[in-house]
Amino acid sequence: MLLPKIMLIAFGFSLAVIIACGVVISNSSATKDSVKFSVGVVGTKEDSYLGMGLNLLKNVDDIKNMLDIIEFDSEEEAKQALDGLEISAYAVIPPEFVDSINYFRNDSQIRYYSDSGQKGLSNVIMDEVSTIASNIIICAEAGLFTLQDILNETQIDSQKYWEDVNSLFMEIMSVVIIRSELTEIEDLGMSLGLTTFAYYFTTFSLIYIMLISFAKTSYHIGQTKEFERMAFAFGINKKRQVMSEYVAICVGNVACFVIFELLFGIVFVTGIISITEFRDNPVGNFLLFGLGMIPVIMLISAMEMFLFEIISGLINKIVVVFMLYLIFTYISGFFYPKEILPATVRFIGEYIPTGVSFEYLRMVIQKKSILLPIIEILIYMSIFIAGTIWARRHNINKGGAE
Amino acid sequence: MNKTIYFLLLVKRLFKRPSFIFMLLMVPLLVLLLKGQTSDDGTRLLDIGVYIEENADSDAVTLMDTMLKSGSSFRFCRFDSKDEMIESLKRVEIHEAIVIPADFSQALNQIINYKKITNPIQIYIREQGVSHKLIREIINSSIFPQLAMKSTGRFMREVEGIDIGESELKDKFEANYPDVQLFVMAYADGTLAEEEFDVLLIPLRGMLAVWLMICSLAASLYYVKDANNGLFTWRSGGKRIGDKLLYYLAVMIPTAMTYLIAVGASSLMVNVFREIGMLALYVVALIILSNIVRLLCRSIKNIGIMIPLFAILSLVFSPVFMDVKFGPVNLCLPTYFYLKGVHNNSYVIGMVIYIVAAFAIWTGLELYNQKLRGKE
Amino acid sequence: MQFDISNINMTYKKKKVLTDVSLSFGQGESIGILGENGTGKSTLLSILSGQFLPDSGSFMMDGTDLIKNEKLRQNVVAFVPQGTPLIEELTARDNLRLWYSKDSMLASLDSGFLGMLGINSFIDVPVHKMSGGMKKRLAIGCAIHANPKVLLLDEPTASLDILCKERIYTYFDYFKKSGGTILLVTHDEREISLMDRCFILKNTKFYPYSYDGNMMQLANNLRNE
Repeated sequence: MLLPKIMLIAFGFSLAVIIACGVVISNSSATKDSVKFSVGVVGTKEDSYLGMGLNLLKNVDDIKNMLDIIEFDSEEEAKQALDGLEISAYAVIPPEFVDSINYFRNDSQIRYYSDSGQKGLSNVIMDEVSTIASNIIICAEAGLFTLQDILNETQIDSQKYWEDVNSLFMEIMSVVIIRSELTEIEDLGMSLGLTTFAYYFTTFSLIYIMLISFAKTSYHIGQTKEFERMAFAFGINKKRQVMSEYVAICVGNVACFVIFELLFGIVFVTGIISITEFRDNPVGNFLLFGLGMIPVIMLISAMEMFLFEIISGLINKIVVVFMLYLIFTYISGFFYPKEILPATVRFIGEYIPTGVSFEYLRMVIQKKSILLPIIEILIYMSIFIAGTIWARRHNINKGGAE
Repeated sequence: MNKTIYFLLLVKRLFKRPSFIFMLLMVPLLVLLLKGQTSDDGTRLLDIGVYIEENADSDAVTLMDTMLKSGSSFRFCRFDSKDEMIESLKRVEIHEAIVIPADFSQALNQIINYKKITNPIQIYIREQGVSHKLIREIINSSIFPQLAMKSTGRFMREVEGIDIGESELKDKFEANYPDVQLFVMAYADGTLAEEEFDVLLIPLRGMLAVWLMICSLAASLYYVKDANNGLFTWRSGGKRIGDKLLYYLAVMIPTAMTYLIAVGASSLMVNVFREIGMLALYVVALIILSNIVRLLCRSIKNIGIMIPLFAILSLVFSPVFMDVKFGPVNLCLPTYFYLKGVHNNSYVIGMVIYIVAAFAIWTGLELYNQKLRGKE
Repeated sequence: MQFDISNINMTYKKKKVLTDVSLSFGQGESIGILGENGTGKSTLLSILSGQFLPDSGSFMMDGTDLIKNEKLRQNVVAFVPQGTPLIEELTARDNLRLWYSKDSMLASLDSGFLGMLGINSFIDVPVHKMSGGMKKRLAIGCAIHANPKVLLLDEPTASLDILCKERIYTYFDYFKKSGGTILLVTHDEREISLMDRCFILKNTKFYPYSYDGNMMQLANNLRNE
């Protein structure tokens, strides 16, 4: 009777998680190889040199591969574009800025606005871009000031003085434009890492299982301990109770994951999301991944069962477990790549159940040895099941409502 | 029934559960633990390995020093061995690896003379992407001072005919280096952004806001459970929205206070009065949304299913980890307005409109429910 | 004070539950409502207490329809449902404080209905640690906070021990003597025998029934009438 409803829930959740995964992937830096950061600029019409400089940035300089510079007539227009997420940020060049630079006063600042809410990753990136732009100007100024110092010690005439300053400025800018020749890229390939698509596919598969388990558990909320005591009285001891419930939860989760994988498979086959690691044998690799998920499903089911057994109270079950899941997923690198986390956090993230699950799946995708991760998964499963049995014994003896 | 006593007893009831107290303590504690992981100079976005070849010249050493002292969001870490650095890259412990050639001066001289670079800086990457381009620009930015200095030196010697020594040039260049900030970030409301900002704490406010939303939906679970048990039998048949607000506030006030403490502990607080004001609006919006969900879902099971759905929608379509625009979904989530409104009053107004609209829907559903009672 | 329940009709999910249920009673009466499980007895009590809205019908008190007049009904009618309408985590004292002012609670515990229900003996016990009897007595105690004239009870003594039941019956007696009226859904023979009048709810209709102590005959009537 519950099965059709659970399957419907699984279908709904699968769609939600796949859409979320797609959104995250499309916003990630790997896909932004072709999609650049769009930055609005206001105030460029004030000065022809400014316009020229901007033109250089838009069409000549290497920065054009990373930034899409869009000029706006007014700050209002730029603000609207920012609110509509058409641009990542916009900068307002005050009218006195050019003179401030030309006359080396440096007493005017360009304000840039990035994201209307709290500071986020796009702000951090814009900070970097602004520092780079600032460095170009400041380094050029340092060179020009140095030249001025030297020239002031000679008896040079005023017109030549400024001609020389301008020439040095052009010289420095010419060198800055060809700066990328100083570096050479060597692509090692993914090595131990997963491609961005595979990374997020893995993390969102895990998120799906955690969420669907969470959603299905609402069917267990509200049950009193009387049922467990009655079962115990009929000779179904706590171990058998726990194991039978565990099997039911696992089977349910596996069934729900099959729906998820089927839907994801459709998305994959249509090419909307493409996973490099699966390209050589898409169907085979997909099936392998699905089979590989079974130990992870068993682990997450055991963890869920354990948490819901030891935490008492309706509101606490939902809220505490959700909070734990949020923390686990964050420090295991499900939303941001693990690399941004400090070493200690990364270490912890790798050894908690979510991290262990992720590492195991990475080995599955890369077709490496899964022995160690499987052992870790089995250890966790044993701990959770044993813990649930212990808690069940305690709850049966305590009695009373949930 | 005295409403104050009613409210206080409902709060007392929550605090009778050790797990509730544990949860309230856990939130700020975890925030403090997370904050404890941040370094003095702020957590960096990604680690970049740097290796300098043996017998490096002064320009190579200068570049290395510039990178290591850089205040960039990407942390440069020195490696003593190139192989170790590459292995670290392969193990995904660092994001990119840079090898500075020993004869970097030659590369600088070649570029300022528009000659081909024979021994450039090697950058090793694992995956193409915008982050790689940005890091390349940051590396270039570290070289700008040396480039500018060398260009100036060359200009003086070859154009001006002034024979200036390297050391004199360096001294003058450093003395003339302006200590200014030409760009500054500001929020929509005009306040300047924080100078020091820890990347690790970026999604913290958002995560806490989503947690608060979950608490609110969980309060609906509690409400339905109590209603099924007949707790509201001796009160009016459900017409009094004020009573319901009071019930939800009994859950939301302790959790909102915990939220405030956590935000304060994380140093993300903007301004106490603004925080409290925004939080109050957010809590009201959440309570109204939770009541709408309760009335539409009706049973504990159905509400329980909605909770993770709202969680994933809020995490993706509110600016918790990224900013995603999808109007129909964004506008249904109070988390979206709250997080966007931290520095932007337009979204505060948006939140007020949301509250008014949601309240109208809630009232309508309550009236409909009243007519339907016993028949649903 | 005269109460008249007139032509209550109720449909639930397109199924007729109550058809023209009518009943009149005055103060100081006790009325038993009998019937098989699922015939709508609890639904009737829920309608009279305002939890449900009937399709049609009225519940008048001296010419005022209590179904429409919520405020008056809350002061006149008290309902004790089958479940545990209490907050499990709180003590009896705290649960009573939800409904009583401090003074009135203390007064009632001292020499009023609450004292009669024996709540003093477990006043500081949390609900989740109480026995079924204690919970039921406490529930009754909470229900009567507004000094109602009509007390609706849905199987109040189900699964309680004999001593506990007798205690509750003593309270019913006291309540009646104070001018209150009891409408009681019950399957218990002792309770049926205590009622002034009985009615059977069968096939959505309400029939008066005179109980003479013969349970077999009652059972036949429930089946055949």
